[in-house]
Amino acid sequence: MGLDYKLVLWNKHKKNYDKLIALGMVLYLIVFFVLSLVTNAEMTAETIIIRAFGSLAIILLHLILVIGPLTRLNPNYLPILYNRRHLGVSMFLAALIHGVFSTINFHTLGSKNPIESIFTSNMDYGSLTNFPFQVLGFLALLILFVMASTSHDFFLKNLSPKIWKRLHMLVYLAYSLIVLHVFLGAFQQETSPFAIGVLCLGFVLITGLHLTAAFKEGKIDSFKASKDSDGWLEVCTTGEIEESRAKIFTVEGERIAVFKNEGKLSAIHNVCKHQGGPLGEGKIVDGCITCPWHGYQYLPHNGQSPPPFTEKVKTYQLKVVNGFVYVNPNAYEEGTEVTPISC
Amino acid sequence: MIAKQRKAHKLVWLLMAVVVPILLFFAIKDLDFAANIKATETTEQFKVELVKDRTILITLSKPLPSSSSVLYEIDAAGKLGKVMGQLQGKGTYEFQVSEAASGIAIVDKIKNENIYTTTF
Amino acid sequence: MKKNDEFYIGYVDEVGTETKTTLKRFVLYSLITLVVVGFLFSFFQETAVNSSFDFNEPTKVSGIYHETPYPMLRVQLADDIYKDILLLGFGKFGPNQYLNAIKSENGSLVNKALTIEGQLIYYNGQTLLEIDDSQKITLSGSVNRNEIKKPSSIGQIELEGEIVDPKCYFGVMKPGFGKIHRSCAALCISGGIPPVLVATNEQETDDYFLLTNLKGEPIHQDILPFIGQPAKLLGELSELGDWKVLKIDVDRIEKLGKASSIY
Repeated sequence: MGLDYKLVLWNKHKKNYDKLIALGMVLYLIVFFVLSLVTNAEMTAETIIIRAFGSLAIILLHLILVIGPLTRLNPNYLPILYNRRHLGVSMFLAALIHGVFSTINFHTLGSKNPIESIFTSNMDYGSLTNFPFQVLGFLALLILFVMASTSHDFFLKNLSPKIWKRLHMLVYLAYSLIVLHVFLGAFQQETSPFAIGVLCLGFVLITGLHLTAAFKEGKIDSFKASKDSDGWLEVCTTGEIEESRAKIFTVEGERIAVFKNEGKLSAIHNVCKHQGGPLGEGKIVDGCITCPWHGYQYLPHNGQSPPPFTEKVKTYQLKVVNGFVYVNPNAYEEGTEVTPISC
Repeated sequence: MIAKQRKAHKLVWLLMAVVVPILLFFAIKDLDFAANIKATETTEQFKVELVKDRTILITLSKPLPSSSSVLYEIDAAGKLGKVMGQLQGKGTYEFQVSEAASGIAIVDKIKNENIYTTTF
Repeated sequence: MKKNDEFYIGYVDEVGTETKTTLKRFVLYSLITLVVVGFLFSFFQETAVNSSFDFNEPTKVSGIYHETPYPMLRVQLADDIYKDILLLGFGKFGPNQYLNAIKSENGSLVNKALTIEGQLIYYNGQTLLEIDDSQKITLSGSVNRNEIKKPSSIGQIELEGEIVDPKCYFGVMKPGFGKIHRSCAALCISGGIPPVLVATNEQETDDYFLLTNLKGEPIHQDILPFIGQPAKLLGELSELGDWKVLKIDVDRIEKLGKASSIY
């Protein structure tokens, strides 16, 4: 895919995805506004807006953060990952409304620049419970802004997937900052055990899922294959790989996907050029290896995306001896033709 | 993802699993959670009692939402009569009413609004 | 199709049955979570008080100007019944910029009759007035016959409470106190709004104390580190109409580091 800026390519699933995000957000806001107005009639509109959008952004952030590990644990969740960035941008917009209203409310019309005021109106940086919590929210919002504004594939390509991924991993820092922002801000005054309980539960859920997924992946990475006299690695038997599917093996720190296509075996590097998706968890569709994350495709025999696309991944040489599959750990250049071997 | 990124993810979450809960614990350990349990407002917010000897007790368990609250007697003709005094914040107030009074009224003199009227 | 052989591609309309079931369940649980959390977050909020800010509804108020040391207007409500209205400026500022414009033309305003059109702020028996334009202040010229005297000291008193900015506390913001509001209060007080101590007395009702330095002069910058958190103050108490005034030594304010009793 080229480097030129393309607008979002809409399809049926994307539209449904966005409708569901909008439905969820509207539902939340209605519940929050109606209940606040009914049970707390003296509350001012600004306060309700600040609280409704702030809490909505946190809930959406929780949803966003559970998707990744869920897909690692059960591939049926993959469709939610496809357009996760739409959820991210929606969450940023909710957080932005919260941030802008709070800044206007608490920091404008005064003797200081509002941004300067966020950092200097409360100077108790040495204390935990008195810490200027708005600074934490401001920094988190900056991170979310950078992420939302680079969420398009145009930036992914321009920044390179590696840097882009590193940038977008800052969401974990943003999440930590936001949780602290709430605990050191709102919860110091609004001590509802239910609200505090929800965020504690959320933290346990998110951390638990991420660590479970991480340890599961760790097992694959620690796979040790035995070498034959030529230095080739014995990875599995030919029967272990299903037709149109692959098995993933870790060879000298790199993951390799060994695919079976029409009874023949091919091996390519496991990492998709788009966002680093696990190609070995994909499937061969219309003769192309299809990435489970966003449907990028590669030909099994040369690791190249079918024209007009130009992505290329490394390929590996295979051999079959007595029904055992062996991989040559020395990769070929990206896009090198390797004849699939029969088994 | 490449192996390095997977490792980075694992390290980040292990670090967060340790550091964040400690910070959160110390952030909330001294909070008074019981204070938040919603008190059902059973008490009347505003109560006027006529006790013996033409003494009036006014109890404000919630502030009057007015910029000033002057207490007047209502005379026999139903008009504002003698000024009895001023109500301010929450609390109990005691006033004497004259024989001729047919009721009392609370008026916000700054905004010229009648806040409350009652007849005996 | 074999179990586990489903494969979702974003740009292909077809979705496997098992994937569909998982997605439907996820969407359902997410929506339920949103509604339940929306309920918990909104229902269990602290109840806002019935303070008022007459935003966009200006009122003309006439009275005698005095400074104790903060600018106030003493309004006569009836014979021998007065209300002392604390004057404030627009936004997070005190009233002085508007008053100084009048003072520069007419000299001291103390004990003179003024009519000011501004926005009223009121709660729990205390009333304040926001001035947003010096054009809306008119001097009627007459001098008060009964000069308003400086309040005399009642004695030393030790109080626990929270220092707030009265503009937000008495009506502009809800909540206008505490940790969430703290930086706003600091900005208000540094902008010239008088610091007020809110302390709960034995009858469980709140008392309000305008804070001054030991000489009885306004304090703003020096008190900023103590705003919006429980503190113990020692000072000389005096009373003037609706407001109590506490002369304090800022260096002797003690931070209590616990939950505020005014919540």
